[in-house]
Amino acid sequence: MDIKWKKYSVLPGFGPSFAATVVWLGILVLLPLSTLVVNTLAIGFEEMPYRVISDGAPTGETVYLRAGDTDDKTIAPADADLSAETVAAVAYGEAAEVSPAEVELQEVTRGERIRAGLVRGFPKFVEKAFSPRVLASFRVTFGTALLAALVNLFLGGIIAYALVRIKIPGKRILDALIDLPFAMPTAICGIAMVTMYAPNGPIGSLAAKLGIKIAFTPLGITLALLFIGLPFVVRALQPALIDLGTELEDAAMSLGASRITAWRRVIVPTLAPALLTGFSLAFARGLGEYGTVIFIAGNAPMKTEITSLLIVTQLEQFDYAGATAIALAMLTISLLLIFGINRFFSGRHHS
Amino acid sequence: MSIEINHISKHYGDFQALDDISLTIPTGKLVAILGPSGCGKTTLLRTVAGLERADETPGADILFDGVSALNSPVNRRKVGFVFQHYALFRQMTVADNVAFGLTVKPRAERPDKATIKKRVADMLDLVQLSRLGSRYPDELSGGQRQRVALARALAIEPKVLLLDEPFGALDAQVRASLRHWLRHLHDTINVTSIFVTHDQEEALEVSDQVVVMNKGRIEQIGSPNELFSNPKTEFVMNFLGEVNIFHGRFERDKAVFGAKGAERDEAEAKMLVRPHDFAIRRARPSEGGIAAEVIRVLTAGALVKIELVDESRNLLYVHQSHAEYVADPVKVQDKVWLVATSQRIFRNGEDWSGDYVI
Amino acid sequence: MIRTDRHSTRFAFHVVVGTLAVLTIAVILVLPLGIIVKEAFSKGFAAWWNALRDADTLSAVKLTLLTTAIVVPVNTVMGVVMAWAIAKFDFKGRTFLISLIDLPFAVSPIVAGLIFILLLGPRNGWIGPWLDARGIRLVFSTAGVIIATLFVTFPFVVRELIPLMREQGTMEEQAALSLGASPWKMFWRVTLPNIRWGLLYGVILCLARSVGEFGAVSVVSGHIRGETNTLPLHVEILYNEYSFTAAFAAASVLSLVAVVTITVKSFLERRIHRKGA
Repeated sequence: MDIKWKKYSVLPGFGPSFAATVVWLGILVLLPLSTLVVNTLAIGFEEMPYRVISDGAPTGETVYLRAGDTDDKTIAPADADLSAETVAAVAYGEAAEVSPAEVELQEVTRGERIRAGLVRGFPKFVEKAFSPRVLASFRVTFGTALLAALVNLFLGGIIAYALVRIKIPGKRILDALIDLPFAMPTAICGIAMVTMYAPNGPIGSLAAKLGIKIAFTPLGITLALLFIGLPFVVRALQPALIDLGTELEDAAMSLGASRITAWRRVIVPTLAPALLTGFSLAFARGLGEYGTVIFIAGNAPMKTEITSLLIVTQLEQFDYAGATAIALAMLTISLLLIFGINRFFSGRHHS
Repeated sequence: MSIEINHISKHYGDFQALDDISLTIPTGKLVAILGPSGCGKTTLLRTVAGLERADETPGADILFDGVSALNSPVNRRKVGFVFQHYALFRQMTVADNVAFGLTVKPRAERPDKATIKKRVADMLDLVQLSRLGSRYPDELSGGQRQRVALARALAIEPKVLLLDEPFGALDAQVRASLRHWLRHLHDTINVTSIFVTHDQEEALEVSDQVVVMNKGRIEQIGSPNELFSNPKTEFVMNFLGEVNIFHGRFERDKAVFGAKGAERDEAEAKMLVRPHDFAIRRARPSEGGIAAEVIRVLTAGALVKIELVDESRNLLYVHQSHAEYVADPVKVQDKVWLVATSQRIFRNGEDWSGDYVI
Repeated sequence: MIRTDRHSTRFAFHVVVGTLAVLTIAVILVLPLGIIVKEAFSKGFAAWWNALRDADTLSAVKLTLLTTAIVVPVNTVMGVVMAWAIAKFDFKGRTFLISLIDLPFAVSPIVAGLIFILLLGPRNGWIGPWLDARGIRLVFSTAGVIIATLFVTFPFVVRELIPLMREQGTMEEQAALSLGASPWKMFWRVTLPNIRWGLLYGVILCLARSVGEFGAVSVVSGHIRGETNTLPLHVEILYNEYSFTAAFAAASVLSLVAVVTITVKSFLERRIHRKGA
């Protein structure tokens, strides 16, 4: 038996391991994530459209009712013939033969129902996913994540350069410490951040003397994201810098370029893909970060509320549809953004 | 153990790697499968080993001593396979590598520890690596790894030994010495062996029999001498040693070379002449010859190699012994005539004997 | 001389960059760790010890250990199984499966929690009500904590193994088979030894994350004290109740885990680099 979509291999175990992979990824990833999309599509279907019937004839009016609001109505099915003597309908929740004059509402066909659901769902989705409060949270989240990733690009560049090129005593320990944000539980980082940057904390007090408030401001969020994003940039740059070696720099300088020119014209463009990877990873992590940020964010709606927290708030108020809509919007925007950044820059890089 | 390959074909999607291959290999022989890369030789070898599966076509079978092996999986076929890049187990010492095939046998068949140890020592002796048993593969040279791979394959006392480009990854000097060593080893242990190579010199020097493959088919099977002196196809002649090629065509069952403007037959004619089958004449020979000009003479080496161009500026090569050359040394810019003392003509790639005109 | 001049500028440049790098690491990465330790012991060793002996803290430790004890072995076994299929064979849809594996890293922890509520929520979830009717509750329960942690941490092992196994190819396995090894012996004697360091590396990352996961677990746990609170969640509660010493005491334990993690990780990286070559 030859399977068309798979190359023959003498190695054993493809069948069971492939089946296990598909089932596991299906249950653990695909099914749960599909709830976001499906539940968002379902927003418009909470209410169903009905034609209003008066004296056995449609008035041309349509009403939208929730499932519970139809109990005291007499409803004819979509295919009922209202000119007939009697109609098989549902009256007060029970099947009954009634005269057309008694019918109050008539169901619409399935096609119309789906169309109405989608058409009415879209504005509802927009209303939930892009309300002023959500938009404000997007501004805070994307703004601080972007700023932190940019600063990290600079700081991470310095650290990566130092770790690769400079002989520093205790380099192995420094190198291991870079991974601390990967290994530390985010909530622990969060309470450390707020203690550090609070007005009576070691750095917060210094800043307070300069009249700068860090904790419970977007600046505090940015600093927390700085911590969480730094290893992404360093770890992306290190191998690229090692690969680069010193030859390219020497070659550029032997051709008469100054060190700065050599860096600007030769080194940085060569490192661009690694810089971009580091930036994207740090940025993406910053967008979704929760534990590190919530303690220091202050969480004031419209000002220092991040999107992740807003989703939690909606959940706590049992507004699942709202939470889902925001989550889907946020996931889509961040995926598009990261995809877009990579496309744009890698396109430019190749030309 | 003899090997019989019957009507084996193999497709990869639209690509036909093996096209109805049939071949018999007698017990105790060392056979080379020779062909350019992509000709299907490695696929054939792997199919024999059970590492690749042949298409299920009617009549397809592989028999070891007359018993079908097609349905027995690779780990039951008891073939010794030496991989091109050796595939040594990187986490095991050389001795553990060699012992592997014995230690993974089912408990009932497994020899005791002392026997395994003895056998490993014997194998390492055989491949002259007794002192390196405790090394790891990445601490060995290419030639040493090759020999470990061979010892590992032989330790299970295979009935058949299959070698995939055994010298492919080695440098020229190591290749040459390992080549003689392999022939010698085969004469000692006398196990039926097939090896795959793209190097004609290797195939001709080491094997009892050569199978020439091209585009998934067998072109010719024969002893090295037969193949070299009596090639059945243009491909075989071209692949085994250097040739000069002359293009022509057929006219009423006559191969015509050189003449212009005559009507065309559908069949293509090619005349192939080995460089040592040309005689150089100073004067125009009565039997007709090819006018050419000497452009380069190389006297270093066992043969004198002379490069010439004919009237249409095609490059020609002639090899002479030093004795022949000294008798009448040609110089660059000499105008000479070449006469083929022996040539073969091919009609659409197949050997053809009949009239021809130059 | 130009040469010495160039070297002295390079030296100065290196001193500046090196100092900046060390300072950045110290302030951004090490200082938070120092603060945790300082706060944890601010009221002395006895207070730290007493805070850790609190019944709720202990039950949080227990749940964290339970979660880890389930999640890490499951993800290890499934990681090897998935990597075997994806790295050692060529088939259509390979890249799609790899993207699915990468997805949990692109999803923020809160959304990771949310999707399991949408799926398993006892009131409005897809299959939650059906399960609820049978007395099974997979969110707002210990099971929910485990499932969410499973989702967040499963890529670590498999993502570590796929490139490693891909690079190693299948030749050694083929050789083992041709020497008569059964599939199991091939796996135990050849495949597993070849991937052991990479596997351990993935397991360590998975372990660290499953001990420390906060966002996703926070959404699905239901915050039932003494029942569904993991240690990070418990830290949050203590902190919000202004029990700072207790919060930082628990945090110091988690930080210790983190420090051990990066130490082992650094050791393994050197090991992999040496053996991988």
